[in-house]
Amino acid sequence: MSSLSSRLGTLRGPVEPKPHNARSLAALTANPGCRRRAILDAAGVDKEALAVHLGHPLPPTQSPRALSRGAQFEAQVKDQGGAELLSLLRDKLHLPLPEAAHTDLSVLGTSDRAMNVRHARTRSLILEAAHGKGASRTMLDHPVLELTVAGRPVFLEPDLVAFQSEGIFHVVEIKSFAVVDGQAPGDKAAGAVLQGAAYIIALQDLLTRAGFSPERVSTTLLLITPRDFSRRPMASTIDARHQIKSLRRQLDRLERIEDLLGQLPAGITFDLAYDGPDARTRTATRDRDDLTKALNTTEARYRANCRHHCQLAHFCRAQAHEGQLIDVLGSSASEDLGGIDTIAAALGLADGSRAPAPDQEDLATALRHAESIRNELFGGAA
Amino acid sequence: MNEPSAAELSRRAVAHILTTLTTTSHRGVVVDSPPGAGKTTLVVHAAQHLTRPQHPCMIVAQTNAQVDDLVSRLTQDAPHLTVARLSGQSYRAPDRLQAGPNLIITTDARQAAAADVAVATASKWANVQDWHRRWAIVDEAYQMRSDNLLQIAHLADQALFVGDPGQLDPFSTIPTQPWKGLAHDPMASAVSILLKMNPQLPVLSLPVSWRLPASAAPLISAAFYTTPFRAGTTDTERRLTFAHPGLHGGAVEQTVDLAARTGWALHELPARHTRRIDPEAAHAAISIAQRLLIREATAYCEDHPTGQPLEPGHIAIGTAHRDQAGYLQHLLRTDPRLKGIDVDTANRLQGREYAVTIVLHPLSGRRDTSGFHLEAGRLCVLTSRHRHACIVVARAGIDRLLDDHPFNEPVHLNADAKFPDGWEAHQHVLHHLTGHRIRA
Amino acid sequence: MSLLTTLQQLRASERHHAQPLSRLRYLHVADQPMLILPLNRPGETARPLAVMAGCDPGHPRLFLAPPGDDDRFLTDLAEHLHTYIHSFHYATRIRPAKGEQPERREYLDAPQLVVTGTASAYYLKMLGRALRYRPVPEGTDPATSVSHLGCWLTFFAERAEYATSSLLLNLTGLLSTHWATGQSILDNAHLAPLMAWIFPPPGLTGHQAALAAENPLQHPPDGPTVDPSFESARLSSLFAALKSSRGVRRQHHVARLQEAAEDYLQPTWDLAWKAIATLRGLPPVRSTAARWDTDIRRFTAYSDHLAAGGPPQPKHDDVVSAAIRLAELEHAAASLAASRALEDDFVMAERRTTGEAFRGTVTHTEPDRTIPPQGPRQRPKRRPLITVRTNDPVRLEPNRLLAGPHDPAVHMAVLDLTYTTDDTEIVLEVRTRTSNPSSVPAVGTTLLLTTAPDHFRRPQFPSRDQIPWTHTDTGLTAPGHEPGEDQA
Repeated sequence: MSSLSSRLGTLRGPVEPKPHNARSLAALTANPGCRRRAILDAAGVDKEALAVHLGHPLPPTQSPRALSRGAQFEAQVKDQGGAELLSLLRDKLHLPLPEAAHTDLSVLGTSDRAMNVRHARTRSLILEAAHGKGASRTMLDHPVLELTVAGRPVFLEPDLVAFQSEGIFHVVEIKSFAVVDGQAPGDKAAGAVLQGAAYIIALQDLLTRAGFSPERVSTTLLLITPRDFSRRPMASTIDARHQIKSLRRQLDRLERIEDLLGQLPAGITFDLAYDGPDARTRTATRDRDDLTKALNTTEARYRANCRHHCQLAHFCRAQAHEGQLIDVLGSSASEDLGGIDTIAAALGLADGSRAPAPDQEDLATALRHAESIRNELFGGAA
Repeated sequence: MNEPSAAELSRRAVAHILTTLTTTSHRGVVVDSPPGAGKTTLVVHAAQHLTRPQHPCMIVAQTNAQVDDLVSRLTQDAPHLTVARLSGQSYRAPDRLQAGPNLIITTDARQAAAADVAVATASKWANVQDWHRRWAIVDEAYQMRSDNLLQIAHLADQALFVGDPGQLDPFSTIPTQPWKGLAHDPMASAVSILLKMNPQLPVLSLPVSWRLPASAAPLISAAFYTTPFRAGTTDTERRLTFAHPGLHGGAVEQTVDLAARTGWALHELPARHTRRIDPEAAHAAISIAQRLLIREATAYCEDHPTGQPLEPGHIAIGTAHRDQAGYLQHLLRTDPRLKGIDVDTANRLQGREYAVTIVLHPLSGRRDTSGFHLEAGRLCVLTSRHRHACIVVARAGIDRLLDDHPFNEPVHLNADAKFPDGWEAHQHVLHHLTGHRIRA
Repeated sequence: MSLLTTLQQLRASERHHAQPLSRLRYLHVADQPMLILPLNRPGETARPLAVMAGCDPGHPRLFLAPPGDDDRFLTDLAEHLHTYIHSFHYATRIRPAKGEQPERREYLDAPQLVVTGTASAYYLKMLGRALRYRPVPEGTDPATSVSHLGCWLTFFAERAEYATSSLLLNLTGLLSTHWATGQSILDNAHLAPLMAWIFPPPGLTGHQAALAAENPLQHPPDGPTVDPSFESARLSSLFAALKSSRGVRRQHHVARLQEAAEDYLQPTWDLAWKAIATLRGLPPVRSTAARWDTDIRRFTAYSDHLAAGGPPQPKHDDVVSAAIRLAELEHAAASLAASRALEDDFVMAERRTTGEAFRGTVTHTEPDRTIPPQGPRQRPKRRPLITVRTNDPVRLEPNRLLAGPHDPAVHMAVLDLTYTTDDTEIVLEVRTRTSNPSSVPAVGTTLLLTTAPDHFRRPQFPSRDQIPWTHTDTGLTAPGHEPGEDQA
């Protein structure tokens, strides 16, 4: 383990690993085929800083106003010891009793150093509840959970509530997108469930390590959102079993990251070589070509939707474009062209200037046929 | 020791279903039937059972071929019943269906009124006016769309829904998100809407597959079904032997031998990304079929204890896409010995049965997975049509493809998460096949 | 997608410039459509910050909803849209009775809304949902109400789901059917990069222009979402200022917000009109007019519905409406695909690359062939045979019905296919118009054939008060059936 973490440390350089959160964990499932991403994530490399330094930053995608509105909504829902939240949960889970013991763990502090303390407190409260000590209903606000990612413990600080009733823990996520007439945008709901899945896994792990059954955690996520076009909250449930399994698979794969590291040349690092320790004033001094070379030792798998979940997307896109990879044209083109990787190769087969390899005969015939039809329609050399 | 035999289990299940039909206070009964569990037999029994006190009944199937199969079984097994085969205008009856005193073939529902059992496709029934029966039997109900059931449900008071929950869901050619998660999703299967609206209906199941050999039933049951089932036969009852030994011991011969011996073979071609049509894989499938026939395979089973020579009609090649099937059909025509082999997509192989199936793995040669290719029902249909052996042809690398499968499908509130999950089902089957791998 | 389209994508990438796909449009482009560019207020659901709308490229109207002042915005926007819609209510024509349909009055033309892409079309649908149940204030004309604005937006957005409808045009979607670019579909969903590939400014390649168009501060992306960089740079401070200010100070901030919204939307406004003009310049396929006629009928019917005081569209389809809508959506998609194949060279060419169509030469005919009678009282039927030879890679199954642009009414079934190394011989049986001599082309004629449109019969569903037990959750038992009755 220590040799793994020192290996990952070398890749990252002398900086703290980029902390994971549920969002970044959820992104693990978005393009698991990308070896570059897997290695960078395992090593805790700051992909955003990498992209900025390489001149391919991803424009910001989070609206400042949406963030503050989201925070307002959350505060509103949790106001007065979570009274509104509790009544929603009571209806959704068909609970008989009116109150629950509410503990807000954020009072222990929100700094990084407080995380350990909060996690310890979260853990003891959860185990207490699991043992049936204390109140029969427990609501934990801002719990800090821990998950092992690539051999490294990662704290998750969810904007959520873990709620225990009748011996079962429920994960409650508060989101600011609206559910209109019972329907939510599919991508937003998907994001919420994946993040919820990370918390459910962390909670399952906490309980199993203490000898409890993972079934003490409900695999159904409770989602609190504004109803329709109002600010009034409502509760929905989503079956998160698929997402939990999927995320577990990707976490397991990160545990096996050594296989991938073994394929990297010795001494490779993605260190940005900062000139100072202060994150606000320091400048990256790493030679860009050198860094690009280092990145090129990892196999990237660029897809058109990468920008939705990876900060390095524009860098990889530029590389794919430079390399004339079919991938820049999207998935249907790649599917049509089978094993051909580059645009030049495909066009060469189509116009007959390139002789097909034995296994490309069939595709070459189809491309030449399509090319002849193209010429009929649009004329030859244009 | 005291465990009941498969035949006994089957018999009890059918008896229980038939009793339920006549005693239930519910308007509907659902029977889940895994591959080859005697669904058609059940439909025939149920029809006889329901008509016995002089209540004529109606049967709804999804395709003309299914209607023909049912009609032909009814006329053979229940010669005392008069059967009406209702059809559309363009329908031509196959030779095996001969109109006679016990079989009316007509486009006009009025002519079918006197029959004990009237059988037609759902789309034909949708156009029938002034019709009413106490009982309807809906066959292949999991492949029927909710909107089709809506059109015909008024024709009978009560209905028996029979189908295979592991096969493919109905589909549409257009995006149907607007209804996802809503109670009235017209794209949902007839059974899912029925049970959503009437959750108290009895759901029974047939526990024994008489088609799948002992080598396949446990795998298919575990990979694709929430209600488990077992094989009706034992390892020794089903055998596949060859009159001639393999020639050079090449990969194709080894594949064929392994499949005959164990009921499964994965014929694995070198890893390569291919288009949908992968000529090498297609040729491999053809060679495998050729070897099976040239070496004169004989299939022994409970119906043919002294063996039955394997003929082209006993073999099917299954694909995911129609153009793949078209390409294979084209290849088949080049060898007259292969005439009679069925090549079709999973969609169209539903409900069919063969001695040996050769399957082009839906993920073979692909760069990326997709919901379509991962769909559990597709793989289930392809790997559960056989009585003796299933041979899967695939490019190496499916394990990595599954590992790399992205999980970013949109989520719809209130829509049920689908089980089994396609990814897991694929993983399950692949894991099994890896133990039966021959590298080409 | 077809290999032909992929090939054009490859070419576009190689030549750094968009390449043509279909050269004929299948949707109607009105002389005076109304372009609508909605911009949502960040962090809210279907609550506009601004909408730029109008029928005159030179005179966009900007409707601004400064935080705290939504109502005026909505009345103004409603008035603007209603004026446009009602302008189509003056000219009518009479459609004569036909079959079971009685004589009907219909409008001569219909309004057409245009948005930049799917996201905006969805936004209008959500906005319609947010507005259509608003009460009509006492003593005001419902026809100009915000509620009716919601109804109309819903109407347009719902029609846009039908492949055949031109009532709400989606510019990026339409441009993508006519041009292939060197970027993915995901990138093509944004108007600026897509137009950059089609019309790169001088001195730039399509790729360079598309990259430049990605800079949100220089080329604000089309809405309805405000780009976060733009929000931080131009809007955040204004939002804060508007919260606390009153009177003149507030007016000052509103004016600056107006400026910011104009700056954001103006580039897209200009690009969108350029796109509209470009699309209008493409010649339409024959069936376009008939499809627009259907749109006009739908518009007439919905106008009548509202005029008669009809209720707004329900929140959800009930079981019958959902089934009917699904059938109609499927029919629209299938009929459009079928008529485009027969009317647009490019679509036919695409089908030739996928094997669903072929071009071949007639090598043999049997115009007088008959088949024996099918039943006792029937006569032999005339079923001419045609043999066609093609070197296209045909993938058709026997019994498939085919038709060609030479005479779409003649349908022929594939009887037999014979493959040789170089070409394929296809034997066809003429099934429709069998007595018409022109249904059998002469030997030597070149034919283009593809799968014929399926016959569509409108499915019959039960009325809403007769929904069967399978689709209602009443939990009733069988009528007249007591438990155990049959056991006795």
